[in-house]
Amino acid sequence: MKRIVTILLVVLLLLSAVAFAKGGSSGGTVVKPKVVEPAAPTPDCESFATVKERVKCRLTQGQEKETTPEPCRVLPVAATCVKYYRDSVPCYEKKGTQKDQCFKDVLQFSKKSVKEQAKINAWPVRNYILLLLYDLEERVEDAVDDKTLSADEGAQLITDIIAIKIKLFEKAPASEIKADIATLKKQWPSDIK
Amino acid sequence: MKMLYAIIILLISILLLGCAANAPIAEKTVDTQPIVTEQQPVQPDDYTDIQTADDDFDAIDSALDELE
Repeated sequence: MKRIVTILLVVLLLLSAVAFAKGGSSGGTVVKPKVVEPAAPTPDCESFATVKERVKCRLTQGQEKETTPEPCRVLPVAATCVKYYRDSVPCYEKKGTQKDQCFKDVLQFSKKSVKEQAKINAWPVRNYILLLLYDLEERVEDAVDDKTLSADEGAQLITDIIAIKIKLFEKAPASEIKADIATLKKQWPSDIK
Repeated sequence: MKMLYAIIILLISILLLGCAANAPIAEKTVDTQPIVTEQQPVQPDDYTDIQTADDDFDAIDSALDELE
């Protein structure tokens, strides 16, 4: 009897050891020493002199920290401009009529239609065009990410869009902006939908 | 002898606990129903359907017409 009990005890001891060993390896995390290779120094996109160079840098390197949007830099007070950008960010995740509604909510349209709004106060309509231009910028950025467009081509398109935005902020005549939009439309690559 | 039985019971308990700890995750998880959120219907009247770059350009052109 004592012999059987001893054998049983040994078997149980062995099985318990196996059960514990398994528990430790799956429950915790195995930390392997990571070999960190020194990363190549990334250029500061803000250090470039021209808008196109800065845009191209951000397209290729990404943007680590928040910077003042390019069109806002020409304004004496950039805060309001920056606020429009910040507030409109969630709108770009939306689609269709929801996106349009989001733009109009951010800009505090008192009327749903642009036509009706323009009769009361035209300023939100100008800003509405800004947000639509930013939507086009987003499409260019996506095309560069998908390699549909080269970084250089993308940077050129975005630079042209920024130039139009600046004109909008400077209250340039609508006819002048219309001409620029027509030029942009001609340059627009057919594969960016 | 009683001591021996106590040790055996203890070891069996340890064994069972160890096995329970290693049970597959799938057995431990509880099936949850996907959360369905109801979206507020958007009234399509007067809101522009912005899906493509062409829609952006059309909306810009219309807005500029109103500014002229």
